[in-house]
Amino acid sequence: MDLIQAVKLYIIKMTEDCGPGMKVLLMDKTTTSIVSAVFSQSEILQREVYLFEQLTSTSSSDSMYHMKCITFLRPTRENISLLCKELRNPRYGYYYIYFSNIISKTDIKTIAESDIQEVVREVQEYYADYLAIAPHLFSLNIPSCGQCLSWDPLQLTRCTQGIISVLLSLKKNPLIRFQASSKMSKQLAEKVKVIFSKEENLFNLKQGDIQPQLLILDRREDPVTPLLMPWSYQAMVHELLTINNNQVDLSHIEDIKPDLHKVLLCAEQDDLYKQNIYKNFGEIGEIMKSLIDDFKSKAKNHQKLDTISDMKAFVENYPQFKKMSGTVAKHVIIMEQLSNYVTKKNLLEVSELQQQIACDIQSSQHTQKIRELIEKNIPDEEASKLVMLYALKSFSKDSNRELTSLIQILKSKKVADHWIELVHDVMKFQSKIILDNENTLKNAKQITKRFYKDLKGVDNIFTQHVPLMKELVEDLIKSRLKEEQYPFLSDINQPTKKYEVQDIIVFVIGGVTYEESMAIYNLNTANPQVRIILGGSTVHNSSSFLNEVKLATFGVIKSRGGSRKL
Amino acid sequence: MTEAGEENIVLEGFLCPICKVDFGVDLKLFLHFQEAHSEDQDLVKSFKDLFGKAKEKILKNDIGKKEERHYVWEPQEIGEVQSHFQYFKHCRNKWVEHFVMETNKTVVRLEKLLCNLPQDPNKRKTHEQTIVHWLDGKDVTRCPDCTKSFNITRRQHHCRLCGSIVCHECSCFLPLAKAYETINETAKNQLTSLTQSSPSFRLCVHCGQVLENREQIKYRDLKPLMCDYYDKIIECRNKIENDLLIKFNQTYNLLKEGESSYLTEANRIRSDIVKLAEAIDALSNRILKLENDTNSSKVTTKNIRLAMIQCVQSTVLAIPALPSLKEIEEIAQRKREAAEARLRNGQDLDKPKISQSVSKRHSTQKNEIKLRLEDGWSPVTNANVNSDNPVVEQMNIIKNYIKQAKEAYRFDEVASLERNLQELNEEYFKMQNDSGNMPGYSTKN
Ligand SMILES: [Zn+2]
Ligand SMILES: [Zn+2]
Ligand SMILES: [Zn+2]
Repeated sequence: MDLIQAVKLYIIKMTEDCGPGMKVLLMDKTTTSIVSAVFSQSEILQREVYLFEQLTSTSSSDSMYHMKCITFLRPTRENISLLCKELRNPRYGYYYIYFSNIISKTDIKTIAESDIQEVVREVQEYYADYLAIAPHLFSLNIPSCGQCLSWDPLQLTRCTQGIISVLLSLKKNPLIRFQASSKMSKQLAEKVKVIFSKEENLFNLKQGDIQPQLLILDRREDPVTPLLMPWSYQAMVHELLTINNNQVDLSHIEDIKPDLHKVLLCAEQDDLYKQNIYKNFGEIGEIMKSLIDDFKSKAKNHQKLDTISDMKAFVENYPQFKKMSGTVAKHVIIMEQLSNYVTKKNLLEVSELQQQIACDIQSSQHTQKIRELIEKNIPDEEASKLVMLYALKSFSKDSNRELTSLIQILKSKKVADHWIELVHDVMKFQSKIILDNENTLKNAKQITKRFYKDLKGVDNIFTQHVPLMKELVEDLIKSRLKEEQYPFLSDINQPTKKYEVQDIIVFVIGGVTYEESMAIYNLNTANPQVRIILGGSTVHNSSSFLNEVKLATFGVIKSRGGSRKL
Repeated sequence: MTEAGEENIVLEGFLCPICKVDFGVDLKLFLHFQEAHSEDQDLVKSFKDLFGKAKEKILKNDIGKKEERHYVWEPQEIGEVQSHFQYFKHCRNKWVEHFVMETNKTVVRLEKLLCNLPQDPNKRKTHEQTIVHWLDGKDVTRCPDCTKSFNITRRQHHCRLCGSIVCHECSCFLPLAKAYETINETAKNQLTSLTQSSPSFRLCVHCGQVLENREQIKYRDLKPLMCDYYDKIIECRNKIENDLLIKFNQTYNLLKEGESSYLTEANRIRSDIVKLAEAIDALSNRILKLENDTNSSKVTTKNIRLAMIQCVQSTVLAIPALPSLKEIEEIAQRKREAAEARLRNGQDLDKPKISQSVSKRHSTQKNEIKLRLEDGWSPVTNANVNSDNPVVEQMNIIKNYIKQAKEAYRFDEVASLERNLQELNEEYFKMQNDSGNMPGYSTKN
């Protein structure tokens, strides 16, 4: 059930299908990121692919008839018409065409009628229609799913296609469950179901005894997690520097060498990164330091080597030397940047308070502490995120009044209007209507939990908050996920007896976070009897999340009083 | 992908991890590292301030208690696929048939047009209209291709090959010379007399495309020089990967077993591989140097060169230098001695214990051999080697040392240890004879 493997296997097959010879890979923008997420350039060069082209209306007209063209495209209308144009004046010898998703017969016919020179040798559907970020994590790179808290129809289609392709690439035909409180979850679940019945042949898959489960969730159920400062490496890089298609833009750093303006952060190609993706900031610091020391001591061991040939021997003895020096340097720069931000934004104090608010620790002091931190002139975004967390988490009778006064402080500190509006937007975005009794029940549960934690010893104060998704998936693993809140979609394939759980695919409308990815990674490690895949419309950091909130709540006028019992 | 890939390569350069300067060459980086960062202090210092408070707070709780575990999922097969090629061919065949007929018709018309083509423009127009019926333009208000309406500035034009009406923008011109070429007629005498007057036919884009496609197909089978070189490269590569490397590994292992008779053979295979690798290097370099008129072919040749450098590097790494005849004979000698010793002693000196501990070490060390080569080497005493007889114990320890020394390629040490062992062996043998028949247990006094 490894997503990276799934995509890799498809692409390897593509390069094998067309036999030996020089190859060009013709892609669109999305498939380019899909391929580069799992293959390094050197790996793909070894498969005789020597040219990478994007199919655009302004493609070059250089013809190279001696090359075989592997065409890997999403089945969009634009791509079909560009492909027809390409085939009418083919630039390459033969074409092996692969679509990343289901394509209609009409489109096939249109393409066939453009292939007058009979250059097409293959037309297939290979379902690699998602960005595989980790073996258990995929994204569809959709920055925003809709407006007015409803679907943008285009994105609903894209999400359906993404889920369908994940399922087909892993050969899973799951039971569908969705979050009952979310209209968007239900719509997506139904769309997926429609494809199941329409493409019966494709989904007529051999299954094990235990049918997989697809669980569709809505980000609106947990807007807290994306607002919290994460401390694991990957999540932290994304929060503070932003990872985009496995790349980090460092060009804003003063005096940085042009080579390092954009660096690649891809676990498949960078072992150091792969090993430390889920380590926390402190650990990475130690690791970097010991790497440098190691590097240094290796160099030192050879200090007595005086002749050139001795040194040559030294270098030959370290085939990793070259690679290591490059990757270490890259991570050192990133770590320097991260620690600069931590200091500059006062993130240790901010994060500590964030955690206290998110976990309802010492709630009576929250407003006072927020005030104090705002007075310390923390950046606008950090100040407003604290107020947002307070707004999302506080349910006391005075909280409305307190909130108004906190917003007043933000205004007095000249925090940009944009941020203050976002405080209101986040409240509109939050879907949970918390009833008094449910709230106290949950609190009681949390207090017990914390009590046990305290007995075990002090927990890391920066990572106390547990994402809601983790709790849900844990319940699902134990077959305890409530069917009233997370029902099965249809009564036809609903399990009659008490169901067991083995393979789980979780999809979050409105995006996931790298912290949640880590939670799923840990669940996979701790529960070898199950396999869990996590996917989202995108992978958010707090600022991309707030952008989505802004767009999603556009046009919503619902006020706070209406959405919540106070 | 190209973008990301290139950055990746840059980052694998010889950068100093401390000051992030790229030195291009490994030796330079190495020298820089010695010069600039030889003092412990400035090294660690650059890191000390980096984490400060964060380290204390975060590190305290998490480090140490985490064990390194990863989930492992069994390998999987390729996901679902669905082929549309049958249906595609079905649709294409219908269309291609239609298209071939159309092409033939067009070419036949072109032949007729060119046959006895008058020089005078007016006569020519009449000639054209007798061959192809021109559509009456009275009822045509819009260009059928771009649907723009005709007026004084956008006038009607007739396609000379199908007689249809199009606007200027939706038409193209077929030069007369090319027209003759299309119907495979040189017709030079006609050409010279005609070039002056009207040098081309106006065609609609559709008819233009039909003829253009026909032309293109003619050129499709031409292969540039690059392909010859590339085919040769692949030939070399297949020979190395599918044949020579396998043979090399077989003989190399035999040499390591002390079979010196394979040395010539192994040397020959090794030099064959090196020759082929050199050929790949030279051929890919020649591809790189080829004149390239287009940007795409420049990128392609550059990437072929890159791929072949990688290929040559990995090939060279796969064929380590061969041991010398002397070294092989030493291995053989030691094996003989060991066998003899065992024979003479008529017993196994705690053999299972040793081989067990050795094999464990062996598996962990194998990958590091190269790294350890120059490190200060000293054997590790293995606690497992115990015996009641101090001489046997000593012998076991030395045997263990020998094994370790061999793994670290310390052949001089091996030799002296072997002598040591030999002495002990003799001592042991003597002891056995003295004490009578109590192997494995004896009192020294
Ligand atoms: Zn340096
Ligand atoms: Zn026109
Ligand atoms: Zn025409």
